[in-house]
Amino acid sequence: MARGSAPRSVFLPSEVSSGIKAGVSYLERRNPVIKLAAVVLVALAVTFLFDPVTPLLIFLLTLVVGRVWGGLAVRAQLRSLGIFLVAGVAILLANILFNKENAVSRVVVSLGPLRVTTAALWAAGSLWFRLLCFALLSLVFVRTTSPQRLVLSLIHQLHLSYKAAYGTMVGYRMLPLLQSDYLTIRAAQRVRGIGEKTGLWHLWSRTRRYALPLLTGAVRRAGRVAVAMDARAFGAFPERTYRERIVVDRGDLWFLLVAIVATALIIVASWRLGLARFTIT
Amino acid sequence: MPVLQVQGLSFAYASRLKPALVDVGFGVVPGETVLVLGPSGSGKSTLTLCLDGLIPHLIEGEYAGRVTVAGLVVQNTPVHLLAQRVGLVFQDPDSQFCTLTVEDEVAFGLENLCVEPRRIDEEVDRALELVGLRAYRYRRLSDLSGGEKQRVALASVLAMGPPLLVLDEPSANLDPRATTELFELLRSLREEHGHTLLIIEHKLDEVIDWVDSVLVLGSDGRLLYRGDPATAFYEMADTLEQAGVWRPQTSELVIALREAGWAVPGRPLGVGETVAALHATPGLFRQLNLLVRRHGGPADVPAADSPPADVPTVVAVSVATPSPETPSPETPSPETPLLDVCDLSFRYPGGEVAVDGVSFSLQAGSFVALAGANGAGKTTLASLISGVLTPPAGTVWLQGRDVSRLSPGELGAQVGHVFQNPEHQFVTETVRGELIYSLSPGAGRRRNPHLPPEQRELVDAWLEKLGLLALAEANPFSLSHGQKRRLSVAAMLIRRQALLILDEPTLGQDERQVAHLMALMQGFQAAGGTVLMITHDMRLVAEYADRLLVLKRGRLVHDGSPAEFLSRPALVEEAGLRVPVLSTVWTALLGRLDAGIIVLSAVFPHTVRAFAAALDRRAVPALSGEGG
Repeated sequence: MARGSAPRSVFLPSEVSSGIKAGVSYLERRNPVIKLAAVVLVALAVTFLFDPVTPLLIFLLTLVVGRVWGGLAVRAQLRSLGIFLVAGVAILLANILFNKENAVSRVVVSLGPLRVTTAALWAAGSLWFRLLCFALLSLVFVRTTSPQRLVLSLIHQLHLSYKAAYGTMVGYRMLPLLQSDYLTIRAAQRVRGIGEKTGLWHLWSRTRRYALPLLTGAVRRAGRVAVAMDARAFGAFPERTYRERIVVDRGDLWFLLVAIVATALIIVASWRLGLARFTIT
Repeated sequence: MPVLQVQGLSFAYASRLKPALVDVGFGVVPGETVLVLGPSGSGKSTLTLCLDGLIPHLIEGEYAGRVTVAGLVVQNTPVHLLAQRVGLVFQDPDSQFCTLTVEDEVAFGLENLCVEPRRIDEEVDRALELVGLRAYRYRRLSDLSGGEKQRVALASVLAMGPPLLVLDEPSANLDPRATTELFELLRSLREEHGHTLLIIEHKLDEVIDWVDSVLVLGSDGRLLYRGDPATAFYEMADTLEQAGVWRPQTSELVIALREAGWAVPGRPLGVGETVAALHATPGLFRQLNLLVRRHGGPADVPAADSPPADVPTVVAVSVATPSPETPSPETPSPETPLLDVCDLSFRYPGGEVAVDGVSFSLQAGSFVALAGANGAGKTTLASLISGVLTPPAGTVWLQGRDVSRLSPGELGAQVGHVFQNPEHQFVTETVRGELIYSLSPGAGRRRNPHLPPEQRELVDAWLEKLGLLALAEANPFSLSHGQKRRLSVAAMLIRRQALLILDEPTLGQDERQVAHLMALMQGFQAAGGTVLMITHDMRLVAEYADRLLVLKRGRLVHDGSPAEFLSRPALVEEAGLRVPVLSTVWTALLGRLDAGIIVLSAVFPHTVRAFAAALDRRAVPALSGEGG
């Protein structure tokens, strides 16, 4: 079966629905719930790997998939992971200083009193690459999935109540508005001579001062959206129709299968080479 | 058969609250356009919710009476059936969308009605066609302008096919051009597709030409008037004024001219009607002719056909209504100006240039308006002056000191900035606390519990002036919208800063509230304060400002008197603003005279009072003697 509601994709060459342009990447065209399942399965597998090499291989594979099938430039992917790259340094440092196997493990480099052991490198690398894996998998998922399609897919594939799902979408719509409200309120109060002092007491009083206008505004806006939705018959029937139905096609299932097989192959290969470890010790 | 019939409708949100509507009854026939007026809090929005059944089906309260829409009794009909007969459009476009793209938003209602997907596609196209946004189908809502968003909101209810459209201040957040376009669209919907319209609107001059009838709600939620517009604005003018309801400028002009002794015939409301009525007024044209000749009409000034751009040099004469003299930026002033902006440009990180090479200076004691289309950079410019944003060094000078080098405290002592939403600026928990905070931020704390007696008296005096003495201990958030606005302005005024910047202070306020607010500002100006007010409302500009700055895409395109700007329709248009109705009437009158508009720019009547005064027989006895 063709993806989406077939006639649309045929007749609308330039752009298709949900803000995704035609000629969108392979990953963007995948069913969001299936894609989510693939991401969760791979992440789950990574959870049980306690060596640096296997997660690194999976990380590199994700990077390549993101580039080739997701259209995400490698540099853009890495830049978004900036904070996790920095975290690696901290993890490494902590392990060099505190890893309990440092005393019994082989020293790779000695930097004065600091003895960098294989155990420290191994533990830090395993932790760091796993972290990077989770981050990159989430990143590729978010960058290739339109929130609207995700919500529809949750309704269509996971049979989530459409009322709850649309509530989530409205919330998502509100986030940028809330952020701009926050910035405006901060500026508005600063003009009245409120200083940005640090310290616990000021943090508390500032939070209180921002919270009231922010919440009042959000509640009012939410109320208005609710009225506007009700006025357009939202919730009139237990079911509703959809202009576009998100379907699972054979391509999606192939994608899931390939993702599982590829991950499994990497793990098995790495195990056969004696690199993979499945326990901490 | 009426498409809408309301009988004895009363509603209170809770039994202990003041009822929002009391015994309201009226009928609307198919194809009729009804303008709904009323002061703030008169139940206009509540009425709209009663029409499509959200009251009483989803919003509960004390409900009495009977509302019938297209033969269906609202109380007994489920909301989804009513949604196909009544379409509601609200004022804030961002608070009525629940999806991310245009097509999803327009399809939303149809999907709720379980319409078959194939038909939804056709209906979405049809609805978008109706509002002229066929090409926008795949756009993201967040990329649209305010005017486009309102059209999408309209399309999203039109898709469900309701014959009756109810619009609750649809233009409140739009700039003048988008407002005109929206009303043109509504007018075509009525004329080409026979829609019945019920419009709540403050911007009367935009719609008065074509509405069929007027419905006025009083502040107590009772029906004050229901009938034809001419009777409302001529026979009931005093009642409406007392109720705090906006009236069209055309009827105000005719009434003022009658008071000045002219026998203007009829009860004109539209521009065409008004011009015709003035034309038919005995003696008025002769007076106008004399006025024109006196200021050098086409006979005396051959330059009359030169382009309007040369205006300021032509006339130095000023008679009945002298236009306020603006200090030209080139003339060196004896003192340092209060504010000097020199070649100020500003670009948001990663964004476009928001302010582009702007230079002007403000003298102390002036009332300056800052106008321009949405996105022209008005708020950015204001923020750069008040220190919300930091200007580049050497571009903004306050009393001879570089603003970029002043500490927030030093700048705050001199410049106040009233934001659009009053709630954003409340920092204490009582009304009194707001005023006290402005005088002494530390007051009330343990170390500094008491306010000096003279400050306490000042606070009490302000509370009385605001009419908030009884609410002094109330939370500012519990006030009405008008009260919040006045409090937020007063909390700035009480600091007696040299310059006060206001960002669209009159948005959504009724006539009485605006008058009250403007009186506060004029008092501030009289005491030597300087006001810089951002607004779209050219009527307000004409009546209060003695100088007008106009921004267009970040550039300053006008710096001079409001009258001078309004007498140049091409420039007004180009800046995305609209010529107020009075200017149109004046231009049309002179057009009939064959006089050069240019010549009269010095006496350009930009307010009703100025218009009537320009033609006052008694004020210019020589003229009328000569003519008679």
